[in-house]
Amino acid sequence: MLRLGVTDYPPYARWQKALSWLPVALLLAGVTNHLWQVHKHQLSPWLGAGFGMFATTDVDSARQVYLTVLLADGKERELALAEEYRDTLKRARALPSDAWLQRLAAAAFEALEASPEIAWPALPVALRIDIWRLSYQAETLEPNAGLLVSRTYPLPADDR
Amino acid sequence: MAHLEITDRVALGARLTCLTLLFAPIGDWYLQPFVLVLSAAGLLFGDLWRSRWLWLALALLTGLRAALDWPLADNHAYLLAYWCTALAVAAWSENKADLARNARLLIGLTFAFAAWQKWSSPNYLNDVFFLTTFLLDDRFEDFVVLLTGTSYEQIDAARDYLEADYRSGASPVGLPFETSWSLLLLARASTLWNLLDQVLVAAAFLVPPASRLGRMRDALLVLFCFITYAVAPVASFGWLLLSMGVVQSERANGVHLWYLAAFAALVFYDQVSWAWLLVEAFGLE
Repeated sequence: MLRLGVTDYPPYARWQKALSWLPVALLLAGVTNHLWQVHKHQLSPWLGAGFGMFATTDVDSARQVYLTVLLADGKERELALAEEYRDTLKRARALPSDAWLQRLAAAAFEALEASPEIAWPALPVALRIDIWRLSYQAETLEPNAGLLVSRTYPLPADDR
Repeated sequence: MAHLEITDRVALGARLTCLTLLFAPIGDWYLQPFVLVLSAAGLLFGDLWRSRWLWLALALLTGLRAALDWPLADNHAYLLAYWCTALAVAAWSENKADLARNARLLIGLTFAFAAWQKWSSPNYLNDVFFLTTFLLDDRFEDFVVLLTGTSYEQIDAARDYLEADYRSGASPVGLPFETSWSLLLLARASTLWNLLDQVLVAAAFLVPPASRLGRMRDALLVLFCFITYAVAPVASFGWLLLSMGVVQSERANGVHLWYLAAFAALVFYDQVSWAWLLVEAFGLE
């Protein structure tokens, strides 16, 4: 059994030397991906292997997600997701990329389909996902909400 | 004896890593039992901590956990996977020098990026981050009440104000109380201390180990862990850093004992709500 911590080690092959840099390479790749995701998809800087925790108020739990059902008469109604969909909501909130927002929309459609008892004043036609980010003024801590991302998805025909 | 001492640091680091995985179980139900059993086996069975297969399995499991939790995993979940990979590579190649180098660079780079994130953040250096964190994050409640005289009721009111719905852009009326000078001072001190300490640790671990600053790296890392994790409720991160740190530590007598002392201290920090006990003792609630 090859072992850790043996001093009399065999001649060191070039590939072994290259492989020894794998952990550092993984860390650097992780940080690079983190920076790309923050820039391209507004990933929360706290997450994603960039070591941005305890550095910014843009923590994922500080982002506010609003799901709004758009009705045929022009009115809107906010939707609250049940616990079973919360994991998808948290991931989309942390990384509001197109892929995760579509998954969140799909989860919302599933929740709507599972709730036929909801009485809509008019026909639901679309779902809008808004993610807001809170920031705070220096000295006064006056909050300000900025819209991070907004997407609208037409409801599948069988959910209307 | 020198060989034994070096081997002991690697053994100690590997075993502390196993202990970290037992103290802070990771993964969902389909991963956690495997990690726990492997970690326990690494501690219980003789030289199993040296096994390439053990560390390969743990590297894969910790990496899988980070991937499955994407993007929600904490940053030390990734660092844990990198470190298990380093242990696996070292077990495969039987090279302790590369393991020590990986430990040093992983710690140095982690702190370097953490410090850079703080430096480049729009709301760190102006103390906004710590001011809002102390009012919003309930993990710091007891600490804030203890040190600043802010009451629990004031923190609850602040939280309601800071997290309200401001989509309409309505002008807020302001914090429901005046922030005390002690809270402002605590935020300032936390801002400066965390940035300074992380810059120093990063530099100490990234410069040549034989340099003057390099020789201070163990003391700086241990000090960081003693202070930071008394307040920040992320002991698992601290345990991981200490496990890595001891592997690359200086050969001077007693250095590894400081790592062990810090590891033990973090157990008490994790298990004992010392700030709450003091709040109760002084009748501050």
